[in-house]
Amino acid sequence: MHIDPSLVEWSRAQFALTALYHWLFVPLTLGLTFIVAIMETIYVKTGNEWWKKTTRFWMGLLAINFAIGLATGIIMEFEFGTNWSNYSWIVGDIFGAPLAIEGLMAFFMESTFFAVMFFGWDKVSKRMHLLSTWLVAIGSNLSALWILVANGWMQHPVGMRFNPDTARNEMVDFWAVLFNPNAYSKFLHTISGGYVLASLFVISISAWYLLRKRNIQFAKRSIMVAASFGLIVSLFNVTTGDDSARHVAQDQPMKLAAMEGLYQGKSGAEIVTFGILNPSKKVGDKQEPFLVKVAIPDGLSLLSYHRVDAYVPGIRELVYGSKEHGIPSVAEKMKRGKEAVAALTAYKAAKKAGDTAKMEAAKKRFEANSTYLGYGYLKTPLQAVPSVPITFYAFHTMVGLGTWFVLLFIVILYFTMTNTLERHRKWLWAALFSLPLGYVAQESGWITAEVGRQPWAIQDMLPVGMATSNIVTSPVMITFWLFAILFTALLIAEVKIMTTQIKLGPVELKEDSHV
Amino acid sequence: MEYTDAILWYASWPVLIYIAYRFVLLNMKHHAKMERLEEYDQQCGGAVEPKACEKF
Repeated sequence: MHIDPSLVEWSRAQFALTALYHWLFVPLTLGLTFIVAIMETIYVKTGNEWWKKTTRFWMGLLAINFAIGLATGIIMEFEFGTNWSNYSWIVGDIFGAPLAIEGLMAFFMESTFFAVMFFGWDKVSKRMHLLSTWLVAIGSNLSALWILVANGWMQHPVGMRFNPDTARNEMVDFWAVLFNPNAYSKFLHTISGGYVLASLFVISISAWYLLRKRNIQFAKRSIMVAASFGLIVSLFNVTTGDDSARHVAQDQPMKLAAMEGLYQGKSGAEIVTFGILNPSKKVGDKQEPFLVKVAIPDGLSLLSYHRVDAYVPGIRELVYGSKEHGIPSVAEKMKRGKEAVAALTAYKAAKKAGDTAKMEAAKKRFEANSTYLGYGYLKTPLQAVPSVPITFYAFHTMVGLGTWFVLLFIVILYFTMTNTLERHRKWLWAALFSLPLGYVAQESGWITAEVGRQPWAIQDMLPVGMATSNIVTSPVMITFWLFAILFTALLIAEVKIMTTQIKLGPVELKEDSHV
Repeated sequence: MEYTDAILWYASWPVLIYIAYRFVLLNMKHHAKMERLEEYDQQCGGAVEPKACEKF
């Protein structure tokens, strides 16, 4: 099968564009639903109308975000069919299951109760409304669960077998897919990242009110809720990030090496906390990988394997192999992959000819090499290396900002609890400007996960070049620009509607009602 | 396969939400006290009519 390289690039660009835009809206929904549910619970417990109005204000902003997130999400699912039909054919039996559960269970639950939550304030009882709000929060997060189970499977495919008769992967163990270590670590890290962003959203807007010296009590109470929530979830986010990195070390060592700019593997590998990569560095040459770096000795070994002397392979060993550490080279894997591809072709030919003996022989040859099937489609060993600068900088941006958010939550919560927040205007400005940083951290996380997995659509199994639809490039190119315009228009619309709502503010609130 | 780790990690999600919710409630109580104190300070900090401070 010949696929035009420009088609692959445009398909990748279109999916990346959709995913990046989609991810501007989703994490806020994941977290803000819980913050709103907590605020409404306080209202139901205390009976204080003040909390009802506060809940309704934040719920209004949530509704705007929810609607636009939905539009981008639906487009993404269609792209699997339009631009990635080979991918859908080869792994649809596995990938389709979590997506179907997401659509049937979580998405409908979320959407149904969203209507009750948003329009049912005076139509259902207080408790029914509260239940609806919690179900929206749980439903939206369960949607994320199934999507991330599917994504976790792409990072570490388990619970399936390749059927040479249909040339498709079939699910043989649903539980292995659901309980895939990459699935749960990705799910928890992603949703807790969404909670951090939502906390920043509430704190940042509230900080703006405090800076403008308006809606003071509303802003302080909202910050109290969001900073408390944010501190707990950001600490959890760090824990899940650590767990996620350990799974990357085990299942995607090339991604880990790119995340850390680790060209030369070693025992007691250091972790780079800050670094500027050497742009002229090539795999296998003698140049230093960094122009400047600040590193913690043994840190990477400790974080990846929980041992200071653990060996962490670098890009060089992963490409050229290391007999000492039992790492096969990409060239060896490509050789075996090509064996698997040839065996599969021979199997199909024997089947067509009705030669069962040849079929059996070809099947055995295929099974002996099938682990490296994906490598059979690579053209050069260096194709197995993802973009080191993008992966490295995206990862370090995410980690750096994540650390900043923990500090911000601690400081803001301390000032709130000591009732001194209004006096610390620099911190209010810092909180305000941390909102865009929250989005940068979110996008950086996804760039790390997805660019770091390249060249694979499914890790070690299916390169992206083999996953696209066999179509001409021009429709993908045209729709890329159409989506770019549409998504940008949606984003502008969301920002405009939100800023209008924020400027109006929670006008009905009286500043005198105790909890 | 061994799924204990996965089950425990998944179970940590509702636990996280519960802990975060309890932490909010705990801080809310303290914050409410701070608000009352602030109001008291503003209204009763100086020499004012004793009646104005009765609600505190």
